[in-house]
Amino acid sequence: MNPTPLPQAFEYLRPFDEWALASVQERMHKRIDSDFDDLKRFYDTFLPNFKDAVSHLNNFSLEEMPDAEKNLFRIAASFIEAAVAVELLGVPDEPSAYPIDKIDVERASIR
Amino acid sequence: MNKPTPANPLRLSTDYPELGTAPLDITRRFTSDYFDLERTKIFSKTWLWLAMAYDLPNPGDYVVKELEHAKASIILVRGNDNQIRGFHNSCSHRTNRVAYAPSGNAPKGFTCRFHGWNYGTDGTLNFVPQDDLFPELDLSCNGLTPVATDLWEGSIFINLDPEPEETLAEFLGEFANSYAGFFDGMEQACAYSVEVNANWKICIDAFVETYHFAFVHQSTAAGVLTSKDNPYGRLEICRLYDKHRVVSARANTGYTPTPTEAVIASLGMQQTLNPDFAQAAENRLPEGINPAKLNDWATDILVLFPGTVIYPWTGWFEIMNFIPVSHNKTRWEMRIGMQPATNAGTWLSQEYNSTLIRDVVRQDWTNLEMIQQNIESGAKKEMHLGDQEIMLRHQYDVVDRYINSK
Ligand code: FES
Ligand SMILES: [Fe+2]
Repeated sequence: MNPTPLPQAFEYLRPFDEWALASVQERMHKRIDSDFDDLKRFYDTFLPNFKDAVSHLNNFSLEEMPDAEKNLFRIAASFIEAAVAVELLGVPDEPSAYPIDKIDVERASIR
Repeated sequence: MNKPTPANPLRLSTDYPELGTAPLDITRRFTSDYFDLERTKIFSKTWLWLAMAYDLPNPGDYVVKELEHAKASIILVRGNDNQIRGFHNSCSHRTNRVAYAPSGNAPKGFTCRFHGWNYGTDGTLNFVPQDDLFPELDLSCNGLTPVATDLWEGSIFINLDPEPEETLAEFLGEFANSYAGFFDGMEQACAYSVEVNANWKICIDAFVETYHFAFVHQSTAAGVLTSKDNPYGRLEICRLYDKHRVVSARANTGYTPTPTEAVIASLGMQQTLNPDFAQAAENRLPEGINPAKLNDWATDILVLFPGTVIYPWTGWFEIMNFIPVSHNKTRWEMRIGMQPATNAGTWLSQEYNSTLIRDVVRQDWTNLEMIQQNIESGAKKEMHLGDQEIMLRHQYDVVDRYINSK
């Protein structure tokens, strides 16, 4: 199996490469289906370097991003989901929140 | 220094004594009979927000919108002449639909799949197979049935009345000119939609006051709109127009961004609920936005009667549209429009904002279905509306006015 390519400086995100998800639907479901501890581990690992990751990605055009950067970009987008859960909600999803499956989302995927 | 005078708790309604302070009768306003009146007297007569012009960037681009309250299917299409028009999605032959996808590009127009009649992007009936079978058919007067369609600041409105009583500009009235250019250059960041089992007015009610913020949104957005000197995020000023209305919300100038928000801000790519005050000061907003020119302004809540709510933030916007499906079902659509993402950073800023707002509104929806059910149970005969809920009071007042009109 081919591992998901990542830019060398961001190899430390390897344990979280399953978060390299193109669509917002995949990312939000993964967040909601995750254990909070796993979200927290992902968040804690990425947060100190999130700014570096974004600065790195800003060197590339959105239209022609190499595969490794594209994966980093996808993981960064998933980090946003994790950040909302960890920084604000304190749970993967609030039990009183309206069911996510009932909401249609239109948002460009990271292709 | 003088101590600031405590703000008047009845500040929103002081200027509008005619609306009164009585409880609202809820026994008659949410029934299917009442909805029938709303369908014919409001939704078939007024201008309705339907889409953004940026949904149709190229000639031949179209969207199809279902308006269940009128059993209407409406095509909005940018013609090959670049003009945006609206039509009933109904064939002149035996009335079948002619557009079947929710959106697309059709430079050659629409072909009915029943017997192949074809219509141009301007609605003209172009082609009838075996037209010698219809000796009396005049193609030139059998195009698609047009629907009154007009634009305001990048938004597309329609009016189902074949002869609207007023133009869109007249309908919007006095503030229409004061938003000039605000939406220019913004593009769709994200769109959400959901069908909620609640009356359309109950749904709108939840999105035009901040009285619920400290409770419903405690974990999410309360922090940016509530502060030490405004712990409940009270709305500051209110302007009631003939049918439409606006209030302004103050921001928490002492808000501490989350670590993620801080990264987003430090990279200068902030388009979030937490306003960048420096940028806001620089950013000359059109006259109609932040009408009281509050220094700590966060956003306005502008309600376009009957069912559209616009929130202009600094450099981005939300538009919510509430389409009644039945007396107890509403389809809600939300558009988040932002500056185009030029790099991963701005894209992630859009992502943060869209994600946060999604989880904020998910906190709202759960309540609304419970409210609807309780109204139908008849357990309560009235509801109480406080000063901060003047937007609701005015909405019910305007609805009544239309229902009671001849
Ligand atoms: S109904 Fe459209 S071609 Fe017959
Ligand atoms: Fe809310």
